[in-house]
Amino acid sequence: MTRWIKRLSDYWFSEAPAARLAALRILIGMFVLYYVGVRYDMFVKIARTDESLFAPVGLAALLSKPIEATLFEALLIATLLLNVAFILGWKHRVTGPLFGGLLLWVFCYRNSWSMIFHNDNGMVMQVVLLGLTASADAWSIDALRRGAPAMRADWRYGWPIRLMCALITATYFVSGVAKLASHGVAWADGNALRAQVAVDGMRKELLGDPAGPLSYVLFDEVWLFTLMGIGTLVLELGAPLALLGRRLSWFWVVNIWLMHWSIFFIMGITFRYQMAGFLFLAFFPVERGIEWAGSKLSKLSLLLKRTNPRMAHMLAAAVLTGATLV
Amino acid sequence: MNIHIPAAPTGANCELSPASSFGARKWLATGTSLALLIAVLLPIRENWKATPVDGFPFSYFPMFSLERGETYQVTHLVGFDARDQRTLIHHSFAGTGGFNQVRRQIRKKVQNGKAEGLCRSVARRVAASPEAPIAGVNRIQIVTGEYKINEFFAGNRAPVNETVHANCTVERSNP
Repeated sequence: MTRWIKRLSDYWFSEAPAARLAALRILIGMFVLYYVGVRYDMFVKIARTDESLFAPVGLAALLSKPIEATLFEALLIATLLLNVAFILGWKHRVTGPLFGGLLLWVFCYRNSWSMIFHNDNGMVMQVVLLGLTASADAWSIDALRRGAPAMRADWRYGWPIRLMCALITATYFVSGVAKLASHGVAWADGNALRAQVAVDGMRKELLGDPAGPLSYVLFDEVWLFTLMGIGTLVLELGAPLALLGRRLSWFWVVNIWLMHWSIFFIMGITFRYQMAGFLFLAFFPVERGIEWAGSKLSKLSLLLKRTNPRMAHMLAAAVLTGATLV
Repeated sequence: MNIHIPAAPTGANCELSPASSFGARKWLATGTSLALLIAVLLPIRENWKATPVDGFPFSYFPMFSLERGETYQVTHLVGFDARDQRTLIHHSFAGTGGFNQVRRQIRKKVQNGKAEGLCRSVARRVAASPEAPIAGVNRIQIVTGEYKINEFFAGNRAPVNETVHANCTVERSNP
């Protein structure tokens, strides 16, 4: 028993570089800034929806009625400002938990108008976790101001990443159990999935949107829905197995990512955070990608400065303009 | 709660924290991990409740698991022009927040007896829209149509049943 606990503890508290958790903070923070930023007007309009449609969930359940739309807008602005502080890693001990808490509240409120969007759960949970943990010990203003040497690999940077991966697999497992609970193993025969695709397409067409691009083409191919049904159940119920090894986790991530793209092509449903791969970043040594890109850029910049300084300036300007536009 | 646990910098000439403190930090991390994992897994119970309740951010993810019959009912918006030609009205005329949110809101308003008010609000927005074919619409209905799923996908869009909840005219200032 003690041996198992030790093995579990070694696994859960394995070391990771500070830069990995920091890279997750920066990349996920940038996605959230984009995601909330482009939805700013929509969120504000939602806050002005008819009060009778208010069905509070999560933290918003503490409210007996909607808050003033202007107060919501102020909180949304505060969330975006804290989002920038989160990306930069500025006073993270204060701004990190504040950002996580506010983002959770904003999304609970956004989901309190008769529809829960299940694609946002993972994103919000990951931000809360990154906000509460030491994700700004590297690649941050805090780290620069401290002037301390680079942080070594430590279990304190490893366990939040382990937890992020476990939470992701747990949500897919819960989704798989819902399918089993409603239909039993028969869900895998594809008929339930086919019916869902049909109902979704029908709703869209009757409410003025086009059905998913492939829904009509594939509707009569029952065998394909059977294949997808089996695949979905195996991937969702087997999700916790992805925690057992690096290669297994990568295999699972690639397949679940393909599942989201299939949903997009067949039903036209965009799970943006999942399809863009951000939900699954915790499974990869993301800091290496950033370091690689950084070293390539600096090499290119050095080379250009030597051979063509004017071109180097133009490239720097283009990169800056591109980053600003993004 | 802040579970920010600082680490020692590389090369820093410092001792490891006392064992008790070190243990306490891991216990805090363990407690947080367990609490979050349980919170994510707990909604599984909803699957076996008579009236399951979904939540955010902890959900039982029911979206692909609902039982579907041979027919399906959709509450939606229909417009009619001067020749009584039927046009489907886009959900954005009824509200904001995306397709699925507005779809549910339309259904909820009908269930709450607010179909007339919704119809008038859609008619006002339609009146302000210059785009074809909406520009030719002079009457709005809020309806619940029952459709055969297989026939719908085979091209037959006629409902097997249709209930009209509200009917209102589109009043334009410059006819």
